[in-house]
Formats: sequence, C-alpha cells, structure tokens
Amino acid sequence: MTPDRAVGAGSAPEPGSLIAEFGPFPVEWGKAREIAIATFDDAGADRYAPSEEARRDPPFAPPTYTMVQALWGASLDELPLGLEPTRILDGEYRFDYLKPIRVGDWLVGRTRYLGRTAKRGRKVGSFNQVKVETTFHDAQTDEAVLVATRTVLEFEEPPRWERP
Amino acid sequence: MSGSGRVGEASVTIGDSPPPVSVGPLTHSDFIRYAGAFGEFNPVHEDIEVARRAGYPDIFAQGMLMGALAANQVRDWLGQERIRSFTARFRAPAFRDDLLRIECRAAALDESRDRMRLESTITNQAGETLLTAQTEVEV
Repeated sequence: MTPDRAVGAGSAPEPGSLIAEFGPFPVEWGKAREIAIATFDDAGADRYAPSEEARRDPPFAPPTYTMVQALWGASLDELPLGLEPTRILDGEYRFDYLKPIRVGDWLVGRTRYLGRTAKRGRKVGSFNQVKVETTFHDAQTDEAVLVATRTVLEFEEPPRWERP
Repeated sequence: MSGSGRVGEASVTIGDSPPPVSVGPLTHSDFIRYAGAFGEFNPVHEDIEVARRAGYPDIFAQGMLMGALAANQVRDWLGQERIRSFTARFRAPAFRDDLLRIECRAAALDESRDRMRLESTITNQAGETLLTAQTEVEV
C-alpha cells in the first residue's frame, strides 16, 4: 500500500510524449454487435449481422468503437498517468473522424500524453485536467483514420453530486 | 443563424431535429454491460459500496455511455460517413434508475467550410443537463 498522494503528484510523463502503442487489432463483427447492445442501439443487431451481402460491403464501426483500446493494452489504468480510479471522472471526449472505419479493418493506436492542468470549478472545487490523445491508423497503410482526445478530471475529493 | 444544407441524401435546415430518444431507467446491469463491451472497468460504476465510499450517492453511468447515446442519434439521423467530429462534455452523472432524454438539433451552418454544427443534450427526469455534445457534419 503506497501512501496517499497529492493530486497530480508522482512521475508524470513529459507533455507530448508517446505513452502507449498498441495493436494491430481487428474491428470485429461480434464486438460491434456487443457495443450496439451496450449502447441501446436497437438497429445494431441487423446492422452488424455478417450476412454475405454485409461482408461484401461491411458497415461502419459504431461511432465510439475505438474506445476498445482498453482491451488492447491502453486503458486509463494501464497508461502511466498515476490516475486513481475512484477520484477521476470523464470531462470531455472528442473524436475526429479522418477516414471511414469499417468492420473488418485492422488498426494500430498511439497514445500521447498532452498534459495536466490545475483548474478550479464553481461547483466542484479544485481538480486537474489530464489530457491524452490517441491516433488510430490503418494497420496496413499507416494512414491516420481517427483521433480521440480524452480529458479526464482528477479530484482530491469527488464533487458532491446529489441524486435528482 | 439560418440556412440549410444537404447532408448526404437529407436536406437539413437550421433548427431541424431528429426524433428525441428515451433511455432508462438505467440499471446496474447497463453499467456492467457497457464496461464489458469496451473493456474499461472502474468500480465507481460497478460496485455500490466503492461508489459510496468514494463519496458518490450511488453508482452512475460511464460518461461515454451517454456519449455513445448522443453519437448514435446523430449517426442514425445523418449517417456516420458525414460526421467529421464529435465532442461530448460531461456535466453531471447519470445515476442508476435515471431516465435519459437524448435530443439533437442543427445549430449552425458554415458554408465556407462545408460544415454544419449539431448540438446535442442529454437530460434526466428532473430536467438537469447531464451531457452536451457538438457534432460537425460535412454538407
């Protein structure tokens, strides 16, 4: 058991540095279908049914598919950011779609640490904004297909939310 | 702001909206299923005792569970191939038993860049805004 640490303390990587490289990993029919079910996409069962016709012209991956990076060695836990799971919340998540990603594609990902900024919120007190950016590339051509930028909020104490 | 543009087969005018989507009441199983699908586990979403010890009143949805709901609505309206960027901002948690309402509207047209901006919101049964999102689509 390590002693309790101050928010943002520890050995943070240099801003801009590469902190994970993962893949190649496939964009899979079964995973796309599982994600559709988990995100209340009622048409997903049909969209991701691998019929002969669908296999000739595969569907686009679900819009947030690349978050499966957590299954390929680049979850928030595995990134060397020193984040304590019970003290973080997602602040913002941005996807820049550069090229279509279809079921059957193979991707590689590279995650960079963008930095940690101390902030103060009216409702939530002091916190850090921790930013990471993952660029996904086509595994064959290395062409960039998607950039995912995630901002995690790191609190000393979680905000006092009330149930509605 | 006014204007309209063609997004693929659809003609979209500023102010247009797809049908709102309702999801919920959210269950413990919904949070577990989402964590498993993406392989990202955090006990504040899955374990009631851990969530309470950490200072939360109950388990709550992963932020990007809500993000996916907003992105799916845009995709179903205008098609994934037209979406250039999607940015979700998390305002407050969606707790177990909450009822979510997902809405979107065409907000602005930037003809010089061939882009239309859509704005999405997710609110709970008390009318609190839990998520806001912006999508840029190619027109």
